[in-house]
Amino acid sequence: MDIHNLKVMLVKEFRQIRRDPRTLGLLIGMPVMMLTMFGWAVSREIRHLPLGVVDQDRSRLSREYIRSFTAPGSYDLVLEADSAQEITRALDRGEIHAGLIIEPDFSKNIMRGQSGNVEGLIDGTDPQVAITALGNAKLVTFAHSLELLDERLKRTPPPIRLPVDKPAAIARYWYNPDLRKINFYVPSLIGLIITQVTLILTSLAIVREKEQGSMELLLSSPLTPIELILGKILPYLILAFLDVNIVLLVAVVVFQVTVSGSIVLFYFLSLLYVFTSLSVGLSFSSLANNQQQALYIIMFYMIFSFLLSGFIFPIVTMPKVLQYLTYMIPLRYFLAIIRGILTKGVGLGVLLPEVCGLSALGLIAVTLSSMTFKRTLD
Amino acid sequence: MFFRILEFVRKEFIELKRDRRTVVALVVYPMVLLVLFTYAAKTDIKDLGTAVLDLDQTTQSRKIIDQFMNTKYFKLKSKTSNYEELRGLIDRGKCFMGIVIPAGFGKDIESGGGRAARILIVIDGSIPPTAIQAANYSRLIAAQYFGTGLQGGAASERGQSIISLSPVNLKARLLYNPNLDAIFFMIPGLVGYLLTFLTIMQSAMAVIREREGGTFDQLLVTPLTGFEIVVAKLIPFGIISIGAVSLIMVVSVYWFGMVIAGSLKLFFAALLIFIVASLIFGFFISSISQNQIQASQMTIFYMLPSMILSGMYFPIFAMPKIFQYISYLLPLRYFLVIMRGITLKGVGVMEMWPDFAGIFGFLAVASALTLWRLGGRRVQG
Repeated sequence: MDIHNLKVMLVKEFRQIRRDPRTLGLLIGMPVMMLTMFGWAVSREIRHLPLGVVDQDRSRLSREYIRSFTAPGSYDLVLEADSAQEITRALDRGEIHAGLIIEPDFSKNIMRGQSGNVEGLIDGTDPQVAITALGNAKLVTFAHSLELLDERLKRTPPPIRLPVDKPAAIARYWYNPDLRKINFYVPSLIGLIITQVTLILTSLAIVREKEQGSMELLLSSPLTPIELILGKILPYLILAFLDVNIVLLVAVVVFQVTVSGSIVLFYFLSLLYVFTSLSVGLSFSSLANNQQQALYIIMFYMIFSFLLSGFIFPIVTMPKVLQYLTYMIPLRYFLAIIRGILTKGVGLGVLLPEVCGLSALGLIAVTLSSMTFKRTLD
Repeated sequence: MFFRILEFVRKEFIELKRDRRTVVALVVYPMVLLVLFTYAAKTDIKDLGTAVLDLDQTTQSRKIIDQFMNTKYFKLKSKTSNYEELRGLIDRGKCFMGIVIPAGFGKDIESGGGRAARILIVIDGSIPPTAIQAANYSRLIAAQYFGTGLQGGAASERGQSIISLSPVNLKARLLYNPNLDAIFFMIPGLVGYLLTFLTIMQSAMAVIREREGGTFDQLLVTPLTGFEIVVAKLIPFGIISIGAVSLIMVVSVYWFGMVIAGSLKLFFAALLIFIVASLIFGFFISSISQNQIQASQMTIFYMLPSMILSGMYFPIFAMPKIFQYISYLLPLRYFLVIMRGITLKGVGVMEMWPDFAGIFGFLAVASALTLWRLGGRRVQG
């Protein structure tokens, strides 16, 4: 392999990139935009759920019960209705996502030592929200009931010994003790952004050459296919790597994401991933004849990665068939690596299977691309 | 005027037929997406790998472990004998969580007084959505178990009458989607994404392609006005988009058992408005781009926030106010509310008129912008 040839290609590529400022803008703008949106807009816990209440009792006890819902901030009381119909109508209109109907004899029943009844209506359209609302409502009710039980038993002589503390299941979250969603999204985002950027860059590069007809010129040059491929990949490797650093910086400084593991290992492995992703991008663009096709293929592949890599939907809950499919997606391995290093703080030993997977896919992609190139030559 | 447009539409279809790859993609793509979305996009946990460290080894400890494993949420993967083993399993990702039952648990449950019975649940926190669900379900299971234990313990001291009934009895009911099928929530999102992608991409690329191919000037020489050209270009894409959505709906209803609770006519009417609005917007994008690369970049820049902030997957009410305001600008937000309202809730224009107004507003703005841009170009020739 001739280093000089490679250098010539690099210079040419960089010059082309500089002539296209919008692509550079996309390079920097898109990651920052995605990071902001994911990091700020959607990494919230599900709180401020719009709640509507019909309090047919209007007593101290009923008000206390309502407050147990709204005080922690998980629910926002947006509607104080006078009838159940109002509640259902508000649910229909999407003004509230949950409604409580407190019976008129609520406090009387509790005082008598019986149950005060509440009917709850929960909008089941969005299962995630519904499960949270339902679970929350049950827990809040249970906790409130225990408090009332306490009071009730204190008033009844002779006092019964209840456990000083309530029995409980204590949940501890490892690696991410406060369960900050951002610690989940930011590493995933880094992976997604790198994937997108590398894919778009390589595809644009190749297809541009094809459309402008300079492909023939390249192929007739004394460069071997390997030099051609490397020459195309390297400048984007450098740019993508720069992107990783920008994203990581923003994540650590702005969103206070902690890096638990070795940052050196992270750099090494992200380089590996960038290389693999670029190779994949190359093999895609060799399939496309024009910009539009290239874009279709990219979008298709990105949705695949988005859905199957474990970015949003956990792989453990997928049917077995799909789980096997995920082994073909480079992003899957990279996400495991990022989460492992940044959040869990594990080392190379644990991540060895992922490294092998990535390398294998990268090699396959490069081989495919060089074969396609050779075919075009003929 | 009508016949001129029709001739033009015919020409567009002929060109489309020649581009076989695109046609195949337009049919296969939605189908694959549908399958993926519905089978991969599970938000509820199932068979989560759990490790157990039972330091008590009594009937009570075994009973509570059974309670966990009898649900569909957790699956017993391994019984460990010490803490390090448990930790190692979760570190390596073999198990997602572990249940630790301390020694003396059974005695605490039996006594019903004095020390409180406790169990410890350790969860892999690197995937918060799953972790939160695991914790929630764990707490619910434990609460139910302790609830019965609590009653039993105290009753043995004083008799049932005092605490056999829980003070507050909440009976909760799920509306609209009683089985909490994530699929029926996802399909509108999928349709919305697909439509946005197909329509904007197509119309953005269409004009550019003509311009780059040099055939644009030929267009300008024809007796068609700017308005007629726009209409004629949009009709084939509109038809294809409606076809793709209909295909998805048919599969959803007959394969996945989706039930459309509301009016089908209203559904297609809303669909049409949204498609037209998106097509016009795509046209606008192409009128401000100089080549295909720019057009595609702008499309991506528009689609990304669209997907995230429109309520497709993340609830809008949980976002910071500023993003909620941004989502008002996205037509996809209104379209999703309308689609979900019609299919899942069975409501109509009476309840959703603000969202219909939103889509119409977007249509108006997009049309105004496009006519402004195209009008100018026409004069320049």
